[in-house]
Amino acid sequence: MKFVLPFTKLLKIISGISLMGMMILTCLDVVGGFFGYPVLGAEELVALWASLLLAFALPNAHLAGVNVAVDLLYNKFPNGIKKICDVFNTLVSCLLFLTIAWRCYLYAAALQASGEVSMILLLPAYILVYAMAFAMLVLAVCMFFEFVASVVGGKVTCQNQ
Amino acid sequence: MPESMIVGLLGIVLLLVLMFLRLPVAYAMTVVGFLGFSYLVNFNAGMALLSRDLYDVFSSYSLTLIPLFVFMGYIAFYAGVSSKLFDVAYKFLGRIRGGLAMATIGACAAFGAICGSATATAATMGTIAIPEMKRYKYGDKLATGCVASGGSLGSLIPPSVVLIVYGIATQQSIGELFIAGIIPGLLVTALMLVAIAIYCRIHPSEGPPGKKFTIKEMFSSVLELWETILVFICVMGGMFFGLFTPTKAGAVGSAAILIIVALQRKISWKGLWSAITETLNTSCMVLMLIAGATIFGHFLAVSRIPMELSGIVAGMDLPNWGVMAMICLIYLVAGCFIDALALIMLTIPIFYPIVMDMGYDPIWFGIIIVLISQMGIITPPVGVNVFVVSGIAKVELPVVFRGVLPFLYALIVATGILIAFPALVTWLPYLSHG
Repeated sequence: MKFVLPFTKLLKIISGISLMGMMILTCLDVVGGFFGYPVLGAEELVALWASLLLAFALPNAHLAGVNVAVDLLYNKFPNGIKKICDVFNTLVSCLLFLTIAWRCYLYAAALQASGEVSMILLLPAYILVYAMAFAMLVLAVCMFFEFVASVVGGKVTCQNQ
Repeated sequence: MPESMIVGLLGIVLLLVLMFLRLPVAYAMTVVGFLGFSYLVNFNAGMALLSRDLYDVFSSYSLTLIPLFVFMGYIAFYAGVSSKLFDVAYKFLGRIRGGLAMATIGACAAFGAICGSATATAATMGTIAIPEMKRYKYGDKLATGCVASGGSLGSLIPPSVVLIVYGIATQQSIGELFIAGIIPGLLVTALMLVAIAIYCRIHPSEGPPGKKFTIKEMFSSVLELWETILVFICVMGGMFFGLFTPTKAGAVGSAAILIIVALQRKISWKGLWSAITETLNTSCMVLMLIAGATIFGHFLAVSRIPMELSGIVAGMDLPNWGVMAMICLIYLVAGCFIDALALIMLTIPIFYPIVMDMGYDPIWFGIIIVLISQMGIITPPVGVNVFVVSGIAKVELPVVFRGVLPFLYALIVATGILIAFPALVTWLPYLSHG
C-alpha cells in the first residue's frame, strides 16, 4: 500500500489547486463581466477543471471513507459474515473501478483519434479523460489493497496523510 | 409483464441487497445500472456507459457549484464563524427558559445559510452549544435533541447540497430552489422555537434560564456578524436579481468569505487545507452518488419502470392527494434507513414523472421531499444526525432519540402547513421571475 499513498497525496494536492483555480477563474469572469470583459471560455475551462478535481480527489476520498453506505443490517451480522461482506465489497469495488479505468482509457483513445476539441477554447478533452483513467487506476489499486487487507485481516486507511 | 420490467424490478432488488451488504450506495447503483443496461441493450453499450456517464457528470459545468458551495461552508466552519453565530443568538435568547436551546436552533439556521450540509451543521453546533447547555444545567434530552434537529435546517435553508442535487436530477433551476427554501426554512425554525417553548413549559428543569446581557451587548454582537450577513446577501441577492448563476454565486461566496476571514487572520494555512480536504471529500461523495444515479437512471429508463409505474398509478383511480400522501410516506419510511441524498437520487427517476403527471409544482415537490427526508436523519434506526450528536455529547442514543421528538412534531406540522399552503414555497421563486 505504501507505494500508492504518495500518488493519492499528489492527486489530492492537484485537486486542491484545481478547486482554488476554479474559484479564482469564476470570480475573474464575474468581475470581468461587470466591466464588459468576461473571461473567454471560462465556463468551459471550469468544467474541464472540475473533472480533474473530482477524479483526482476520488482515491483519497475513498480511503477517507466518505462514501454513503447503509450499516443497518451489516452492524447486526456476526463477525464472520461481516468479513465475507468486506471481502465481497472490496472485490466488487476494485473490479468496478478497474473496468472504469480501462473504459476511460479506451474513451480517451477514441476522443484522441476523432480529434474532438472543446467548443470555444478548442482544448483537447482526451487529455483529461486519460488523466481520469489514471486516477481510476490509482483508486482500483487502493481498493485492491483493501481487498487483500480484508482477506488477511487488517485495515487500509489514509490517516498518515 | 414485459421482460424489461422484470429485469428492472430484479435490478432494484439486487441494488437493495448490495446496499444492505454495505457496498457504498454510489458503487451499488453503478454496478446494478451497468449490469442491467448491458443485459437490456448490449454489453458494449453498458461498458461505454461507465466511462461516458462518469466523464459527463464530472465535467458538467452545472455541477461545479457543488464543490464551490461546500467550500464556502467549510471555510466558514474552520474560521470559527459558527461559534460567533451561537454567541449572538445566545446573547439575545439565553436569558429566557430554554433560551440556550433556542439560540442553538437560531445559530443552526444561520449556519445553514452558509453551510449546505445537515450533518456538518449538527457536528459544528454540537461542539459549541452542548458544553454551554451542560454548563447551564440543561437536560441531556433537550440539549442533544435541539442540536440534532437544528442540523436538519442546513438542508433546507439555502444554499443546500440536497436541493442542488434535486435540481440537477430534475433539471429545475437551482437558483429558484434556493429561493424557495427560504420561507420553509424560516417556518421550520419558528416552529422549532415554539416546540422548545412548549417543552420547557412542561419540563421547566430541562431548560433553565441563562445569563442576562444588556441591550448594548446584544446589538454590538450582531455587528460582529457583518461578514456572514454580507456573504449571504451577496450570494442570495445575486441569484435573486439574476446577477449571477448559482455556480458563479458559489465562487463569489467562497472567495468573499475566504478573503474576509484571511484579512481578519481567522483562518490558518492548516485550516484552509482542512477546508479544501473536506470540500474534496464531500464533493466526491456527492458527485459519485450523482454519477451512480445517472448510470442507474439509464438502466431504469430502458427497463421502462418509471413509465409503467406512472401508468399503474394513473389507472388506480386514486385522488392526487392520496398518491402524494403515499409518496410522502415512502420518503418518510425510507429516509429512516437511507441517507437523504442517496434516497433522493435513487427515487427521483421513479417518483418525479408520477408527480409531474399529476400537475404538482416541481419546486414545491423538491422542498417537500427534502423536508420529509430530513425527518429521516433524526429518526431511528439510522438517524445520522442523532449518531453524530450522541458521539459528540457522549449521551446514550435513546436519550437523543427521545430529545428529538418535539422537533419531529415541529417538522411534521411544517410539512402539513406547506402541503396545505403551497404558495409559501412557490411565492418567492415566482416573484424573482418578475
